[in-house]
Amino acid sequence: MTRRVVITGIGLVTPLDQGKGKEAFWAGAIQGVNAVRPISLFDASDYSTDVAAEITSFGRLRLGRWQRFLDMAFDSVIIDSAIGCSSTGMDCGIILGTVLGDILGAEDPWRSGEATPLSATGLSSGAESLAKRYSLRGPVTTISTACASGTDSIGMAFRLIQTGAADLICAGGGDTLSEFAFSGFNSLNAMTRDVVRPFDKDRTGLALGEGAAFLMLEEEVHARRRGARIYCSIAGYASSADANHLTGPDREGRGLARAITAALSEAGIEMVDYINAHGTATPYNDLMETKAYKSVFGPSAYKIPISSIKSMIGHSFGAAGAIEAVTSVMAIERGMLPPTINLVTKDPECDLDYCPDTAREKLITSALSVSAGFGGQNSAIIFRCL
Amino acid sequence: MEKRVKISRLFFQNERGPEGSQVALTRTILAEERLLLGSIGSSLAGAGLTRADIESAGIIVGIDSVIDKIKESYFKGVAEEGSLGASPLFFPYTSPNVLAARATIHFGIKGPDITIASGPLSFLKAVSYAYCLVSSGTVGLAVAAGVTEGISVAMLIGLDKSDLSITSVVESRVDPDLRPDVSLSMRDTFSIFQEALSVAADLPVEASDLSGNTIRIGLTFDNGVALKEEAFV
Repeated sequence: MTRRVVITGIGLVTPLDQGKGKEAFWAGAIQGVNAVRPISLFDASDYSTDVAAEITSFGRLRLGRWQRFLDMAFDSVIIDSAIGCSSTGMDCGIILGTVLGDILGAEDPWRSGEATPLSATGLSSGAESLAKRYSLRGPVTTISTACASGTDSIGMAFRLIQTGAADLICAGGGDTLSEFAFSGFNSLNAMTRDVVRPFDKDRTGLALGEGAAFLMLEEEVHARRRGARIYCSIAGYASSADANHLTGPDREGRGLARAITAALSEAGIEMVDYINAHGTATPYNDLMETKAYKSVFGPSAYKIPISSIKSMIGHSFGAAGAIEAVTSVMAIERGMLPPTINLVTKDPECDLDYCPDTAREKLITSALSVSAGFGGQNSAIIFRCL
Repeated sequence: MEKRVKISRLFFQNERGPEGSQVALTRTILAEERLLLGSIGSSLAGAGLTRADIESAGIIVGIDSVIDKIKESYFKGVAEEGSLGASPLFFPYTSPNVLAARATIHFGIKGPDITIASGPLSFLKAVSYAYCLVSSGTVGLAVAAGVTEGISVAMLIGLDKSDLSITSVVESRVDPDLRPDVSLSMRDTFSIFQEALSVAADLPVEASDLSGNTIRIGLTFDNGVALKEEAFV
């Protein structure tokens, strides 16, 4: 018999909350705050754009910035889930999704030709550090599936708990802003010069962001036995590969549609009440995503409210899917959808309901969160209220 | 009834491998990209599988620091020439999932595609997660692979038509005071895995890295001899 997996804790640090916790994040998301501003972390004057969404409360801290994000988000989820910590450790695992890890720790040595610290290039150091600090005894794994890493880490934890490999896993993702990533997306002409406009006909690309987020995933009986607060359950998850191109998505969204269809099938449903979109505001992504939704849901796609919080906090790579998962969970909990900001003129080909500008009250029993990334990665996860 | 998740068609591929010539026709950027395509290609060919057979398969690839060199090379361009030094050709190759992605494109694999970046233990964790996907019925067939500098290993994991089986996977992090006092490279984990396959039934594979992450995989053989003959190192 399949074991049900529930969410019993959330924790995050994003440019919306600046490290002040989930309530500050939610307030910013519902108010539609634009966190995209001129960059302070490095000199961007040589590039075609100079904006990103930073966590400015950390100042220009570079050394250890990534680990600080992870520590802060992880501490928050431990507190929120009311898991008792003890000196003998916890029967809890961790799965972290990241793309660049402590890249800031590598940039400076690479500039000067010095030896690079191992922690800077070893993506696994973040999860291992958390496992040591909390004496975690469960599986400790780092995954990297480009911009879908945060969603896939949660999906992997879901699958491991569902199949009995663990009862409790903290899963999420984290990445920092860096010149490394900024220069790369600049070279691909993928970044906006001002604001992020998902699904707008005048959208000009993404803004980079940063942050970290974790969800506590728990087997339902385990959670109920300890009297945990349960936000919702995970009803289905799937990932798929486009098998098409290293940087561009399948133009028809076929890979993403496959992932969504498989997740819906596992959940045993045909409709959802809300979609938290990948919504990067690049021309190809938003159109591909819209096509995928139409392909899966048919005419009913027009009835599903969709929003992209990347319009507010930019694209934080490995953290993105995890932050969006938290957003979906909080949307279910609070019956409220965050808006897509900066959407002024809808692209004629992106003609679904993208919740422009204003948050919306809505009873949500099931929410779909999707991610896509370099290499043709696609992931879909469905959260459902109990 | 217990499902027996089976391993078949295990292939190691290094730069001297006879299958390297098959992959040489494919344009690649990284040497390890060629090795991974070679090991997967040999596994699939050995099993007689076509692109249509594997379209819905999963692919789980474990990597260590194998792409660090291209990351460093990419960023040195930026450090020396600013924005003009940022290569749009190399930048996608700095994403850790690039090797798995190239394999999906090359072989037309469209199922779950996960890259595990847990240092030296990544390969064993890839085997572990592939086992999870197959045993849970998420996929019928998964490619589990590991890539490190100079060598790659790939195998097919499914429910039937195979030579040996995994009966259980237990992954845990042990008390730092009790962990094996040994630091492994991913190449070491390949050797341990291969040794486990060639010795006996019910042999647990256990490996640990310096941080104390330990993985144990219990294996049962149905036909180890046949498998050994297919393996190439």
